[in-house]
Amino acid sequence: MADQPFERDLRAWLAEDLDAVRGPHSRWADAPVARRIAASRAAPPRWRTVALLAAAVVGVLALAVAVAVMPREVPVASAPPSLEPWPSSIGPSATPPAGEIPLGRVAVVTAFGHPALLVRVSPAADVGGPPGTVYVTIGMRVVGPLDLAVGSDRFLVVRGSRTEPLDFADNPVDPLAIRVDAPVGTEVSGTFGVPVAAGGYVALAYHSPGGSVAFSYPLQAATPPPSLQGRCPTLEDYAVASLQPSASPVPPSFAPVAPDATPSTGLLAIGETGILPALDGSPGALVRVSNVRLCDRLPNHRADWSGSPAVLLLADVEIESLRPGTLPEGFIPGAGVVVASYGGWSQLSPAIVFDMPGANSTTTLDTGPGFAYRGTIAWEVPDDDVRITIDAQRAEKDASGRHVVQLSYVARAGASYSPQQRTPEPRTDPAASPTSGVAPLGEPVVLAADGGTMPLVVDGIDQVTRYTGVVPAPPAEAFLEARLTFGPGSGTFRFDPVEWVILGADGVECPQLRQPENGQLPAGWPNVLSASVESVIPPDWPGMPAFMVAEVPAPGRITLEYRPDGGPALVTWVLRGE
Amino acid sequence: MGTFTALTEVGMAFLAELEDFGSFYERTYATAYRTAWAILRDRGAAADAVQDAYLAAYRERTQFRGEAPAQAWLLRIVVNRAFAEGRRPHPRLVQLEVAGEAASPADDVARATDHLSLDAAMVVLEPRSRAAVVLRYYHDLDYATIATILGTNANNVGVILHRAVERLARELGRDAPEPVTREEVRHG
Repeated sequence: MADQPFERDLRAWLAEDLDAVRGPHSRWADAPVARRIAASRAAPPRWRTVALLAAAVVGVLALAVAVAVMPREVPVASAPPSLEPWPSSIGPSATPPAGEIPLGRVAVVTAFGHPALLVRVSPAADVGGPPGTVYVTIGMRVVGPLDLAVGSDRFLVVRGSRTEPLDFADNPVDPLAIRVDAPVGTEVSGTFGVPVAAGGYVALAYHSPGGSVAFSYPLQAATPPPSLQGRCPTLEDYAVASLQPSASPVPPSFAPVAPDATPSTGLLAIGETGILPALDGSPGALVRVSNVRLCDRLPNHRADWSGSPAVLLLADVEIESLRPGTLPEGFIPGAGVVVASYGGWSQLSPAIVFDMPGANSTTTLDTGPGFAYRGTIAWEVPDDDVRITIDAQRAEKDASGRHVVQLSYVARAGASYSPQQRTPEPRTDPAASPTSGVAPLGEPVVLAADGGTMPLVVDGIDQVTRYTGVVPAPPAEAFLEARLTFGPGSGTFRFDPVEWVILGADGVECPQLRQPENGQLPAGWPNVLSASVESVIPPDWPGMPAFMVAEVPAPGRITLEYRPDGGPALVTWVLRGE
Repeated sequence: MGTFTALTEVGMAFLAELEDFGSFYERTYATAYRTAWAILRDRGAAADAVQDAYLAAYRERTQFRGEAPAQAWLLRIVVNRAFAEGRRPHPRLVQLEVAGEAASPADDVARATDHLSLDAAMVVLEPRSRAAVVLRYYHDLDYATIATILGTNANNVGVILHRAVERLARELGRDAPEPVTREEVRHG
């Protein structure tokens, strides 16, 4: 399609601007990354197969489960733990800790397989801030080549089931920032206040975008472990789990397998034990997938598939490795060893299910003998009729470089994948009169649009008490979700956020949860519309849903009003109450 | 335009090329840096993001399967690293820089004014929209490839671009283009 005049100018401007930009490290010999890679080549090959996915999954997901300890209510930081000095020397084989470590203790973080950074979180004096605040000093010292820049964003406050960034709003710059090329001996520190007044478990956790490190310093209290019997978890399951003492995941329950047992291939029944062969054909690993279920959502997580309808696929998975070289190196729940495949065409991403009862965030590179796993894994899957399998993969690869799928469980029977896109037809007459008044949920209304009309269906009303990382601000007690499905229509509709309001029974506008300014939706959030940017919905918008989410009080009527041009309500939907 | 013309081949040839990572780096660095700069509008942050991106690319190179265009593979890493760098809580994005260290002082005044205005207008956009604009109007990628890089679908790319271009036109006092058409969304 030919550019329009402004687009032609835009191309020309960008070309003139960006072609002149050179960058400071255009020569490989000058590039910091060259030194980092050279260092990694000299290091033992610990890292190979864990990819960026591990950053999101390992660095963060591991925290909520891995940091639990026995319950207590007294802020730990008020006790005077000993302050371990920076060590004068560190062995080359020092490795990062896992799980909780006491305040004041020095932790080693590695890069390229060698110690690179020391981290220490210690109690700090109360500086007279708000009551119920624990003050800690975070110190870091560079002891070797770093593989990535470091800053306060490596730290998360784990607050019960939620995580939140470390707040250093009073500082004009990040006091913990360390550049990737910082020399050995560079040291930074900063003191932070962490509110703990709400009670419950609070910890300060370090996570590494590079993959494996996930440890935390407890500040107060403790929490959950699992229990889920093949159901979709409810908020009650979360509550029950949060009251139980922490414990290691239960090991898999495979019966002994004879050395000459025949390996499994092809499709297995759900719940059946699969035998993956080792290199010599003997039983190399055992796999079992059971309790496969599709869940509309979790209490704090709404599945999203690039804005299309989606559900969560949950399965209880057990794995036991018997012989070396059988399983792919590097295990992340839902990736690598046991994966979900969509239409035999694409592997699905595992969902980040913070604190889900039954989830087991154990990750490891070493999948040799002794590796065992048991836990509930979740994947986000499109809500359509395409077939989904849960596949067990072997270490060996086929001609296309993919690990060989040895056996599969059918998670959803369905059609094979077809990349052919649908051609949506307008669902509204361009000459139809726009709807006004009170509109029923679940039925299309007609909105005036540029050059025609645009249909809209409001439905999917749901109410949850939290999303991952966010809870309603009092006096609100819940999030009320409404699904808005536009199009396809016969004109372009402009969704102006200020024209859409959600009102409580008293007529007061309820605060809405809107898309962050950076456009990146936090994991588990519904596909909410932007807070400040007008959304242009073209005529052929294929009916992908977006959500409006408001913080609402527990009881009473809630309405959604469309007020074009800031005028009176043209269309009203009653989302809750009469 | 970008320097990826020679890198649109996929599969084993690209994997072989990656074996000489230094050559690959030097051949692609300018485009990677320009992309990161266009998103972050900050030289230091862009330099950091690009170094992080190449380290990630080096680590991931054995996982590249050739099922997506090579440029999409690298640009996706660069864009994601730029997004991550942009999320770092540094007061960077408020600073408006003049693009290009090598900008010629002999440029005529009107064109320089256009560039400064474009810079200011680009800063108004959110990073994801900036990325979409530079991928479409600088790298000349189709919607499907942009969708792969941004982790969304072609329809969403159409909407993101339409909003972004409309916003840029408004900021620059120009006529906004017509809404995106069905044909363009489908075929890029």
